[in-house]
Amino acid sequence: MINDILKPGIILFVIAAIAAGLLGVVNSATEKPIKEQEIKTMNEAKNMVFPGENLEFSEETEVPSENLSGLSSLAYSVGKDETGNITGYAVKSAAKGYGGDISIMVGVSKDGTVKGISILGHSETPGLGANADNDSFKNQYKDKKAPFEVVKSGASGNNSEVTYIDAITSATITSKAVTTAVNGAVYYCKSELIKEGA
Amino acid sequence: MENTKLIVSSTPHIRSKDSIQSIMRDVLIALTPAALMGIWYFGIKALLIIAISIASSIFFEAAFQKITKKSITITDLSAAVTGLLLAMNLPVEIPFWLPIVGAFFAIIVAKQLFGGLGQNFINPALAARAFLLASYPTPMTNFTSPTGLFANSDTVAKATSLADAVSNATPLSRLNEGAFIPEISDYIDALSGNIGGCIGETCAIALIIGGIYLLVRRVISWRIPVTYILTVFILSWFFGRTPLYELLIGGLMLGAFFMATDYSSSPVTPLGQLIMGFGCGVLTALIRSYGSYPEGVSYSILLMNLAVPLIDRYTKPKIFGEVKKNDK
Amino acid sequence: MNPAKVLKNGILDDNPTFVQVIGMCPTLAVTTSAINGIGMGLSTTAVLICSNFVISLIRKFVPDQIRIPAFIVVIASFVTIVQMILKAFVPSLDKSLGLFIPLIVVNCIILARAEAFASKNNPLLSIFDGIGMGLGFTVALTAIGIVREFLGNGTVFGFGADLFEFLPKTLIMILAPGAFFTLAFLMIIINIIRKPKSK
Repeated sequence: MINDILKPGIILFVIAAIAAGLLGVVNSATEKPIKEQEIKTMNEAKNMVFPGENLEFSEETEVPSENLSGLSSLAYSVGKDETGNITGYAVKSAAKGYGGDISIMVGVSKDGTVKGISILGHSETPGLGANADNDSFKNQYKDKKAPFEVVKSGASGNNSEVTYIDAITSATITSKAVTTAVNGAVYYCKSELIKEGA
Repeated sequence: MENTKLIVSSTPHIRSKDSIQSIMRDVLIALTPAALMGIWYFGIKALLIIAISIASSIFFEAAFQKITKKSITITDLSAAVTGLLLAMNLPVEIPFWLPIVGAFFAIIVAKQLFGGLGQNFINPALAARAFLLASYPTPMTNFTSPTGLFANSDTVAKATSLADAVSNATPLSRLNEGAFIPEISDYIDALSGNIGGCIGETCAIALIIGGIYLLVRRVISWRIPVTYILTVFILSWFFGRTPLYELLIGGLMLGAFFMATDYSSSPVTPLGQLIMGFGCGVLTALIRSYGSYPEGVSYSILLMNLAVPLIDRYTKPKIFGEVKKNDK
Repeated sequence: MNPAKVLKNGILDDNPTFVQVIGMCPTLAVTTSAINGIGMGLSTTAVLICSNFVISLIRKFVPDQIRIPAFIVVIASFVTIVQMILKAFVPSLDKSLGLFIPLIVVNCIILARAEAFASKNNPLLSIFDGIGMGLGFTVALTAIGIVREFLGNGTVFGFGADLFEFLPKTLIMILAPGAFFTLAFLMIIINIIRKPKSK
């Protein structure tokens, strides 16, 4: 009988309609706070790699994949201080680690120095590669210049051309991935963004 | 017809002289040469690790059986064997609590929780080793070069800082990092145990002697060890590594004779045992040659342990006289 | 059947995790830390209470053939609402629970209670069932999370790193096998408590 199909159909429609309406209401109520949170998190992440500064960051520009060598992705935003001068670039880069892509944020100043890095996301092993998120590892890049090179036990040797990074114990692949991402970010800034004398 | 009285009694009618205790005793005897060589090369600490491991294994088994009100079976020596095997699979420079945690996992989780002796589906010592490797990677991969009977942690640290970073302390890790062609001196080192590695796996000669003892005493069958070793030999040659050297390094001898042959986690049927030896060999060769780990023996055996019920199922002998099902 | 009994049932006698053994997916995946466990537990409880309540309200109007799609629409709506609220006001929890918040929709516990209880009892009792089962789930997840975090990281709810620095960190506890081991051992303990061994 048609009633067997019509009646349940109408009831289901009513339930779905009420649900959709309710969802619409909650959506409009939370839309703004969600957007604000996203911007806030992004800005916080970017300012984290420029410790001590409070910069205004532009929208992110993505770098097309043909120009990435060894990186999985690259995007940057320009950071300006209150007077509008370009202080540096917050570069989001990713490189393949042990368990997948490691996504980091690098703060590169106008002269190509790394002001700081922050790990945005990773799938590395807890207790091993996940220790890349410790300050003791990340601070190795702070205020140093690229190119960075990973060494295993005790950053040895004094080479003015290269900055040595102590690998995380038992997590060389992760350490190398982060370093690749940092090197790539700095390289892009130096070759494309920082024009002579800017 | 002779008028002899026929004696009617229930089974068993043929009794073997073996008991669990005598079999386990044989295994302990077979392991002793390799254990002694391990102590000789790695020092007093190796002896301590072995003692702690055996003592904890026995303790945990007794404690578990007491708490669960079962009969205490530590005198069958199976816990002692597990303890010794576990210790021989560990590097020497580990903290003393590590074999205790390992013994807990081997005896309580891998063995007793699944029903005790004869019911374990995986090799308890290897399961514990895998657990320890995943839980405490840094001490478990801290292989040191042998420094002699009276070594302590200071002399060992000095010896390894001279070496090319700790990870180069075993032949397998050298192979893993790049091609290296072993010379006669390397072969002699591998045979005598003068190489880095776990406490009980380094002296190939001692392990082979132990293995032959077990074969002679009919404790193990030749099928698993021989197929395992032969497969690794052939595949190593195929994959471009030095086949004979390959057999002497890493945990292959220890694994093939003592770990893969564990009664309850290996196949029952002869064909099944051949399959297991072959499977272990393939996995070991693949992991060593192409995997990112330098050694593959423990994982190969554990993986094959998981396949054993399947192997037993498919190699079940056909029962004579069984009517074939009519499948149309 | 009174509210207090329904409550106790969900937390103890019929605990969804340790006794019914349902909803295992988030239980194993999300309990890598105590705070994640409690966060997931409370989010699921919120959804469970709301969905139990609504489903109980409409139980007499929903024909049998469409009860499953109707329940799913209700459940999915509440999960979406919870997710939007988390994203807007507690983004850190949203980030650490990640994919598992939308997966609450298919958490067996919610559909099971809808089928077994809410569709057959009045709204007041259904609310208490939601609270009881949800709390039972939350307690279970938090317990597992505390054990895994303590053994694997040396902290409890993020605190105690210095206090427990001497404790070796058993990394496997934070990985998948650790989840199974912890669940098994807690189940052993709960079963011993619930049923003294008959000799």
